[in-house]
Amino acid sequence: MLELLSEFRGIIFPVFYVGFFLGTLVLLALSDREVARSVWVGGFILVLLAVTVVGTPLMPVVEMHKFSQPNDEQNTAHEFVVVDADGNELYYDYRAAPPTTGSRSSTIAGHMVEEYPDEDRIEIAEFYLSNAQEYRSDVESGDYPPPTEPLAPPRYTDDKQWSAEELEEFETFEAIRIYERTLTVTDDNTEIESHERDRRLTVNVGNQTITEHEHT
Amino acid sequence: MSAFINYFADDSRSSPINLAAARVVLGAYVLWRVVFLDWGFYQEWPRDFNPGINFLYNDLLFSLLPYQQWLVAGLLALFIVGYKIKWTGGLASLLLMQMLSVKSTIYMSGTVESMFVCAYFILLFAFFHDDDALSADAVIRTKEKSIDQLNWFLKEGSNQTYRMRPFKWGLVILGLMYLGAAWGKLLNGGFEIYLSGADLQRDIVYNQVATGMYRPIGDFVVQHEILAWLGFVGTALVQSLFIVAIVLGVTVTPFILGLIGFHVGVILTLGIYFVDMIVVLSLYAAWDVGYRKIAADQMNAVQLVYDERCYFCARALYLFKHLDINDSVQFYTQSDAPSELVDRDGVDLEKEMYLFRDGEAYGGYDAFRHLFKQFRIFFPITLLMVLPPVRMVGERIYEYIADNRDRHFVCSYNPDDTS
Repeated sequence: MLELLSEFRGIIFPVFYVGFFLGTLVLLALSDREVARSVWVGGFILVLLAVTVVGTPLMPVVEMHKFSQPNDEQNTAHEFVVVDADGNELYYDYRAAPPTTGSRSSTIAGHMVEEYPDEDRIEIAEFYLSNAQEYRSDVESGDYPPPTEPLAPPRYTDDKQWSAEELEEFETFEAIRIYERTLTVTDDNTEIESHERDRRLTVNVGNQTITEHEHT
Repeated sequence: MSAFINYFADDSRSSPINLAAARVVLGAYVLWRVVFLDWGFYQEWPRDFNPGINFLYNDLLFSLLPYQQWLVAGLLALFIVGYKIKWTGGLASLLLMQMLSVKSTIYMSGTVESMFVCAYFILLFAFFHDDDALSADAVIRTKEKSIDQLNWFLKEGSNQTYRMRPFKWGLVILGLMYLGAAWGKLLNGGFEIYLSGADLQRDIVYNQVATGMYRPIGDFVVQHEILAWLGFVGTALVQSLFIVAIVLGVTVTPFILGLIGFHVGVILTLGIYFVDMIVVLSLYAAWDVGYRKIAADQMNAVQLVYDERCYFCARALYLFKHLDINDSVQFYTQSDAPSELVDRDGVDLEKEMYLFRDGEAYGGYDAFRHLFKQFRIFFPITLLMVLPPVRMVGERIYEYIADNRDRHFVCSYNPDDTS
């Protein structure tokens, strides 16, 4: 049944999406009547229940299956780094490309390595690189963080952040590189037993070249 | 008495405080979030990354986001004061859901999911808009009451109970959401992941490497598997039994405390994930119990005398009566005011409203200032009202209203005329 539904999700998702907003507007207009309220609440809770059980959002009804993937003793992820004109590498500060953070960027980097055609690889690398350059110049000139930063909600991932001093050691950014990172924990899960970084892909945006590194 | 309320068991309270407080807190919180998100940047992303909803990856939809942001902000500002809640809340919620859906084509983070939950709550406020008795809408609705009905309400009170159905159905939504969090782990990991603390230990260790951030409490949990196991299993139990407690109508206090503890634990060990949900969960606290303790009681009662023919005055005092859950303000009109209060030099009831506190008479603007003072939560307002510029403007406004209350501020509507 679910497989059958997934075949039609190209139709079901947009139809439900538009129907949700139109239906809600109509029922909201009629919401002085008890029956309209009951229909909306009952319908919404049924859809939410279905979405929760199946584990797939049906926009704009979402589930919260967060942290739901089990963690094996080995964890593989991908990470972006920026490469300067001298070939020096710097971790990517994901503040340059909101709203993603490391976990989402890992998925994107994985797709770039395994799945995307070259045009997409170059386009995404250009995006990451140009925003890294722009963000870098803001950090170096003191425009980042903006004066409104203390009033802003906290960023939900407090990962490593570039500093002006750190950036002084780097020349102009020229390429985006992707590493595959494999972590293995000890038997008692208290520390990292091995931390391997495998260079997988380099996209030089300046000369539009793509290098697929040998997977060890 | 429970610290948190199971509104599914009983969706009514003896005061309207909780629903109004939730509207203000939730509205302000979402407004803060919406204003500070960089909605204009998202259109720079070269492609979508969420295949199921790629129909929303559209240049037009992305280009509208910065404009929608300010439209939603405006609607939320009106929602916070409770003006036309049905439409300001309803449209703010629907627009926000649409914006979040478009944003999700790039990344559906935990913050986005939490904002969806907030949007569902705001929509429930819109659907049950008439439950909110402490809103601009409630004051507007006083137009439907006659001056006699308002006078009676101010003097006698209503002894009514206040339904809070947005809380009731919001609680079911929350219960299902958290059930999903527990169910997702079971669905993907099987039962065996609950037999040890390994999953949480690895989560923390991998997160430390990925973010480059090491937290002492995270390290402590990693080093003590029993703690990790207790945290992991305890979270799953609280998440899955929350909806059971809701539906059975028993106390939800241990579950909400447990969930808040879980979120705080995540912040201390992994990062500021799902911090928004702490705000949502805290809406279910028995704020009215705290408010009752803060507000003045009958031992500190004051007497307020107003013009019984002044429809505007009675409407202006309407919200104060709802706020006065300890009956600490005795409302009188000229005709029934105790003579020992009003028969004195310097008190002219035809000229202005009076508030009597400990034998002292305060007229006009000062009567309002002392009325605010009586509710204590308005302490900052009473301080502002003392400032000379505020006092000068306030006194002018009061005088204008008092002088013109027969001309401009008396509504001609009388329900008796329609019968």
